[in-house]
Amino acid sequence: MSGAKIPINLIRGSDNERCGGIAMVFNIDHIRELRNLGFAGILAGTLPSAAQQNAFLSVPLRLMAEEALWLVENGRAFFIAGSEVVIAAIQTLSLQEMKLAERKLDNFFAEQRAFKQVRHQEKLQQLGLSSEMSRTSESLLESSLFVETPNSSDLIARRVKANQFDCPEIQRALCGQLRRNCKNPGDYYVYKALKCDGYYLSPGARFGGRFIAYPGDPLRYHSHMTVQPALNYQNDPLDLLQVVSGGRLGTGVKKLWVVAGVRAQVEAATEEAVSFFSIEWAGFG
Amino acid sequence: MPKYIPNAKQYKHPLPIHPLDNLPPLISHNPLSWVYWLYKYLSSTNQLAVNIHVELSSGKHITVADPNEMLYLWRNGFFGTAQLSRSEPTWRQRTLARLGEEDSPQALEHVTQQRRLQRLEFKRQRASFEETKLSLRRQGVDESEILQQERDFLKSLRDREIQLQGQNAVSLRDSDIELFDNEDKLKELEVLELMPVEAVFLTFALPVLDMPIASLLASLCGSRPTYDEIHELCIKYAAYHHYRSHGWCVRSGIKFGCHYLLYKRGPPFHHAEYGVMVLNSEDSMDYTFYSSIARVLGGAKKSFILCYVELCESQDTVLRHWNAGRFDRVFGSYKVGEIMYRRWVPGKNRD
Amino acid sequence: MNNSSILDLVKTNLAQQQLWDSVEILKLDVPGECWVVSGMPPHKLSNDDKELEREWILPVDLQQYRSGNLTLEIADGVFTTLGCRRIVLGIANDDGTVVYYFMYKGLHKPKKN
Repeated sequence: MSGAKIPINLIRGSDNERCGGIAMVFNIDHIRELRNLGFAGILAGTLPSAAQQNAFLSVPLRLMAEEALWLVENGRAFFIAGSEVVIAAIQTLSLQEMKLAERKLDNFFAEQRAFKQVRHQEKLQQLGLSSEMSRTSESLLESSLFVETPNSSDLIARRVKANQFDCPEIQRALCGQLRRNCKNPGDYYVYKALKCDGYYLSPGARFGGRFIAYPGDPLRYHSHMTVQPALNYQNDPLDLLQVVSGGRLGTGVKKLWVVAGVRAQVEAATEEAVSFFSIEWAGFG
Repeated sequence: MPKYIPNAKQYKHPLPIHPLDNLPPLISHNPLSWVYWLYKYLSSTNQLAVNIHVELSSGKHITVADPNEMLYLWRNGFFGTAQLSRSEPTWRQRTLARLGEEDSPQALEHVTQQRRLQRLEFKRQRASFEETKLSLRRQGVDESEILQQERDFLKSLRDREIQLQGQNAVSLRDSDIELFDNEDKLKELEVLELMPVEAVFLTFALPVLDMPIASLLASLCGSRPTYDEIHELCIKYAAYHHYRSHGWCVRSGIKFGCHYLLYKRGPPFHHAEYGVMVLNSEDSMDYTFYSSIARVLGGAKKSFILCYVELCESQDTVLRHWNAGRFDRVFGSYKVGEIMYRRWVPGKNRD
Repeated sequence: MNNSSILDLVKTNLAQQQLWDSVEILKLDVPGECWVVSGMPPHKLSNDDKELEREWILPVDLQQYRSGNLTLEIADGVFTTLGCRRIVLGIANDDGTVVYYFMYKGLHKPKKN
């Protein structure tokens, strides 16, 4: 399916007015394709029973707003407005299908139960204990049953005619909505300019910046730039206290502190409208 | 060489105003000693004999030029920064040492400078060895042989570095001639500069400087300022005064990208434990603002304090007090509260 | 950007604390009272430099009571006027200390360590 546009779900929270949506990709093949295109994103799926853990994250992949915009504007992907799609897909479910799914899950549990009971008996026998199932061990067994979370949503893939979203008007509207809600609109121009130079970009909050730029895939390369939120080229003064902390931070982790200025008249901004400056501690003073 | 004076004695007083500490002994069975004590008590003062003279240059640089006064402010609460030194005025001593004029111990700055130079040279040599290594590898020399050579090379560098540390060469520049006056004495080029908040503290809170508070503030903010023109100074001062009153030694945090550093006693005793950023109570910044400062401070083992200053009066009221010279009411209109920010890593901070 | 009030501070700091040679003050031909200090450092500032060169320092005032006025447009103007590959920002704090930062035009590689 390489070459076909990748669907990106825009998930909106309850606060519809202020949130442009969070860009999510739910299909593992699409995620692989994105990686090959130079988009690492952040895996955001966690385990229902241990939502706080962050060591074993899985699908979906979350993209920065800038990444999603770039993909859609360059014809590599298209947006589907998330929750509506899921709701629409759910509404097509018949009672019969739901019962079927329920039965499937029950069967799955029954299989696990049987298997675990056998193992339990074996163990008790080995230890020479009575093989009677106690009440606590029964409830323990119940809580150890697991639900399998599939890598891709079967339901959405089957029910949604995704390409019904892939028309220019809808895409433009969704792009506009996402851009309007970006905190610092200049950041997108900065993102585009760096992408054009072949950098891989990830969110930079952990390192004190808007983006972290890698010269290639983050799994293979070290990053050497912390890119700051975009400034207005003509009007925004450089915050010198931040230059000091940025330069200091960079020296410690071998990263340059990069500021980018976006020229004011940028409705039709091209990459040339962005000027970059790199700052580091001079080693004295 | 001066005799070593323990820090606790040299920096006995946390502020440039001292308790009466020269009172005679009070002997309970000798009434005469009571009278004498009372006389000494009433006649003594902890007011400085002469207030310290400050100059204002370019409108806002507040400087102290007298070497004794510079030292006094440094030793009594660590006020001000010597412009040509790291903090304490050492330029004179360093310069004399550099020019071979006096057998003085190496000042801190000199040591740092030497160390940085040596590191740079070390890295240069190591880089050039990398090239040699590459060519050896191209020639097909055995890997273990290369490794051995590298070890020897690095060791020779180390040895040289250690050897260099002992030396202290005299370096004279052409321009150094200008440093001496007609009588061949080294000119006093170094002055101590006070941050505006320090100067305000030493006039408004303590009677130490020889400048009236009204004229100091007028030269910092203008003679008929608007509220916006005094706001930043007011919140920075409120925070400064707050920490000084709680016994902290407060110094500029510029090197760590924040407003203030808090020392328990002062720079010679311990490292600063806290870095303070002074903000308006309603300020809400981009997340990168907090994370970058916190990382810098965290890297230097300091905690990050967000100090929020709230104005409890109307701006007009504050301005009215300002114009009436009631600075106690001006600075009393602010409330200070703080939050400590620390990075929390679930895998590492389990205890 | 008028930086005339801190020129002497930065110049003296370079000559007397950092021990630079032939330190001079120059007025730039850009709008506003924008000055730079130039001089020769006592040694190469970075191992990536090919040789010891004259450096250009742009003194900037870090005022804790007012926001700064160095925009990227002004910085760009300084680069264009001087035609140099880097400038050194001499950031003067209001306690009289000066700290120095390299500023390169464009994306640059961090210096080798």
